[in-house]
Amino acid sequence: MERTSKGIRGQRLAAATFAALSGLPGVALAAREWNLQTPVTEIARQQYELHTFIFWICVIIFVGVFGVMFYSLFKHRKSVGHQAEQFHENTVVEIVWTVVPFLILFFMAYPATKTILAMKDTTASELTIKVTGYQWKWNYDYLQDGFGYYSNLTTPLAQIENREPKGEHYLLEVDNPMVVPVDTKVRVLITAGDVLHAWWVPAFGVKQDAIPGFVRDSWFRAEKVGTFRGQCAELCGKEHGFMPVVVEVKSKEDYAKWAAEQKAKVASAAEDPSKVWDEKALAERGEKVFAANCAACHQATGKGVPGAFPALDGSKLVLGPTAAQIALVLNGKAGTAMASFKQLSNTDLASVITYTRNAWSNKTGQAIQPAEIQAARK
Amino acid sequence: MPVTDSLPQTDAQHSVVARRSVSLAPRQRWNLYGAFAAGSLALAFSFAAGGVWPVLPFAVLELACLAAAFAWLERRARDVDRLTLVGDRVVVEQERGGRAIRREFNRQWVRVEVDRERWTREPRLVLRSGRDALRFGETVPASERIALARRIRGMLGAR
Amino acid sequence: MSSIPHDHVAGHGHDAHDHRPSGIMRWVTTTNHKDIGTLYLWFSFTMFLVGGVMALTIRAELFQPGLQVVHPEFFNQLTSLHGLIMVFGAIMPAAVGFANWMIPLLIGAPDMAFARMNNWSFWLLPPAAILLITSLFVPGGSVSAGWTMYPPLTIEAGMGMDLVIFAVHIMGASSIMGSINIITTILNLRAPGMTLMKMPLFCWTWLITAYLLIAVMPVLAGAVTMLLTDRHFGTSFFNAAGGGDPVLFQHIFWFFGHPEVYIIILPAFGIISEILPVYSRKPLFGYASMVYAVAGIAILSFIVWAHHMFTVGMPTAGLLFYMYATMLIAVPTGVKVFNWLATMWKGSITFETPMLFALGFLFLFTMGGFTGLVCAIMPVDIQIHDTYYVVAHFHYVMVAGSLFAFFGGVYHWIPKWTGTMYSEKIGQWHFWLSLVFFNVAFFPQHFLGLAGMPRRIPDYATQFTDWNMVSSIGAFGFGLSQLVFLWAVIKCVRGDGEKAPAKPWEGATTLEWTLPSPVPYHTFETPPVVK
Repeated sequence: MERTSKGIRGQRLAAATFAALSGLPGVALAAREWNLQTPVTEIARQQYELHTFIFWICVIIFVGVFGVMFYSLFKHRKSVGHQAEQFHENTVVEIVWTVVPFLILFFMAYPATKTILAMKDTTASELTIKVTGYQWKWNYDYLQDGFGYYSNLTTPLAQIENREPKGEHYLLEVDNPMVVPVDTKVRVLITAGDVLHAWWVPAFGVKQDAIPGFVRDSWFRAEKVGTFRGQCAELCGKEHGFMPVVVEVKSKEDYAKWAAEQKAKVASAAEDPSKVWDEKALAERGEKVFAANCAACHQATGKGVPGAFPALDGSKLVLGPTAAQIALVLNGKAGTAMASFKQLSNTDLASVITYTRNAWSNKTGQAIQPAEIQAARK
Repeated sequence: MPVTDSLPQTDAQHSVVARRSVSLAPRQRWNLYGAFAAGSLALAFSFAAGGVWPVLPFAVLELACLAAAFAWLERRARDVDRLTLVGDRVVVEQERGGRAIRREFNRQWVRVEVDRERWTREPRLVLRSGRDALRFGETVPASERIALARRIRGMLGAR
Repeated sequence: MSSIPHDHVAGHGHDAHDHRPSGIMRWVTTTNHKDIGTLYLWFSFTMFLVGGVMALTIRAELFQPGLQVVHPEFFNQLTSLHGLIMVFGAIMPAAVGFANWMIPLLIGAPDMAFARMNNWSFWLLPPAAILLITSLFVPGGSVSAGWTMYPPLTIEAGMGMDLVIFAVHIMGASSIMGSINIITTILNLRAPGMTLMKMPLFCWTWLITAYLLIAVMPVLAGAVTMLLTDRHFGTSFFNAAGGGDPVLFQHIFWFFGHPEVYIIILPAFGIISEILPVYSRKPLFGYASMVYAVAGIAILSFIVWAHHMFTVGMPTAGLLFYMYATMLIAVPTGVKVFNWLATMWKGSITFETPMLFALGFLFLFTMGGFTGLVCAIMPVDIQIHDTYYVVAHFHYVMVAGSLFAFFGGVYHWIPKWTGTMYSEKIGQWHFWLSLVFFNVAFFPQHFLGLAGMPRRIPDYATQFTDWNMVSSIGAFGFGLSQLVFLWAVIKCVRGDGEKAPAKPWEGATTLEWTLPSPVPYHTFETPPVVK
């Protein structure tokens, strides 16, 4: 740890020097973010130190090389009467400056290789979590414990649209963070349900693209209890900037307690698919599902974005036969941004469809039952 | 046999030779083409082997264009136009892509005309004698043809 | 070809009454390499302003957290089109413009080898640019998946994407025609005595660039065609549900994209290699090793593409291979930088604007090279991939690299092009303003990236606010500074300034300086003989 903090301090100093050189006007330098986030895993620490190490090698070469250049610019000016010499080759020098960088690269490659080998070693993990990226939220599936949930941005629209002051964790806060135990090797299986995403937690040193149809893995062992924040790091459409990754690291006991609660919830929430709901209850639940899944494109007003995302308010499809709408929501529409939502539960889908058929100016009075969704699934 | 050897050597006052400037020998040219084609085709076939066949048609199309360009250069590399005054005769010899053309005009009757290419408005020379006409000097850049025309007129006019 | 062809008819200048069509038709029909070079350069500058306005809109949105100026979906279209327009509309055409103007002059050729094709390859560009810009206004908007056009986003996108694919095809065709022309010109039309190893380095860098273009343009064409067939004709190259692989596109794209990076920078290397010796009054150091270094960089560019994809989850062996190969690029690049320094060493240096831009290039490009090395270290790249660090890195090599070199080239040769000296005072202002504002705009982006700000986001967490503000201020300053450049150029074009002598630079040795300024419409009616 000591090496790290020294590294951080040194680098801040260098960064400040550079900033001063690049002519920043009177910005209070101390409070700014300069560097990689404080690592909380071994891998992130190795990355941090590697970066510091290479940074300093580069600084030394840079100063050396451009020291020579500025010396030359100063001493060999015409205005001080320097006469040009006409030499234009020197084999020895040329060989030297080809070979020396080679050696330097070797010293850089060696520690980097060690870190890569460590990063790729996902064996002997104690907990496996499947992470699935959707437009625009994450799903965390605790494979060994049989529960899972979605993680949505909770920053209110009013803050994004500057109608309210921004909170402390603006854009980096979610309803249900991923929860992991401390000092435990966690293997994450990463994939996506629609387009590319990337799951990134800077403090863990993990960034892995989420690729639809393919599962990739990575791992981390968090050494500290706390909440760590990152973001989706692969452009995934309109709300790419609004799908944060939040991981809560709990002590092993707290984690066990939390996991037990989750399992209990799953058991109690197991719904009877043949249960018949009334329209009001469905629409109420549907509004929440709509806000989490649909409003990003179709807007909370149901008006969509002209030219990009169709309106649902007054839509022929929404007001037409139910089967067509169910099929569209279940399967998505190829060639458009409308993705398949079959990952949602029957009840969620039934409620969101009921909601769209009864919200805004849509007043069909129809209630779609979970059983109808179940029947439409193949 | 190069056409330029078919007449007795004459001095510059009685002869005009217009030849392309070429800095590449034919062997070099096709070796270079081979290098280009080998690189591009190797890439395209490797992609095709991996299922990415749409690279191949574009590579072939492009190499065909490059081949056409090289072939055009090759065909024109030895092109030459030569105009010689032999007494009252104006002997014009041309080589076009290995084909030799020889025409004679009467010095009194031949005129040097300049017309314009329709699209680029570049000047082109025509030697005309009655209904007999022959393009001349296409081997030199458009930029030099006016000067060429002037030079030929000077030669024809001089006694 | 042992004898020197004495064939070209000795000229007495061209006809007094100019044989060019006048007005707009002159420019539409021209086959003259100088006219076409001029067209390329103005087209490029126009696109630079269009792409620049997009960049400034982006920076205006990012000045503060929250959404103020544009909607996220439009923001994504701006970042995507900014990239495409700057790469294909601004930088590449500028390089081709320099090639058109300078290669015939530098090798003593009368014109380009295929003058008519030269005209076509330029006139393909404006329609492509119009397509790109029109795509913003069709339903669904333009490409919003980044200039890299990764599927599946680009497969779902609206018809704007089809326009963009079509535009990319057209620009690709233009590049291929341009390269064929440049290759044949350099190989076939050199003046007597101008052997390959006597050619000015700019010609070498362009010859190798043209080779790269020939090699990789079909790959780009193939990649966007596959996107098109996936979109409309039911193929599944990139669709996992149909048995395809979205990552396959990334491999194909970057197989084109990495050589493309060198296509962008190599002509800039060439220009720098022409400028430095002139103002140092000393021959270029290590000419042969410069040629080998360029060739080495070009060859390496084919085996490093996957370093753009370190986060897709490659096998360990792949990661190691691409990391080592990428690091190796530092060796030939280092050779070039050292050679440039040695060129200046013990010279007799003066600091005219072209030299200032060359020095700015050297300093900042090297910085971009170092951050490139940092990115090459795969474990570090895991942290900075797809963050503002990468944005800073490639703007250091493309703006402070290529663009600065092109600015230097313009100041260096504009006396030859227009016959009028540029105003040294305006030029120096342009340089210093560009240098300062460039760093204000892009240096803080390193910090943003390290601290964890992803790229391509319209809104950000509050801890990134300060550096974003600084960066936006710098960007606007940099953008406005380019109007100074426009002013300097327009003054020269209008002949408002000192009359340029044939050789305004004391240390100049290449062929173009043997011609009067401005260069006559038709040059080298008699080929010069190079000893």
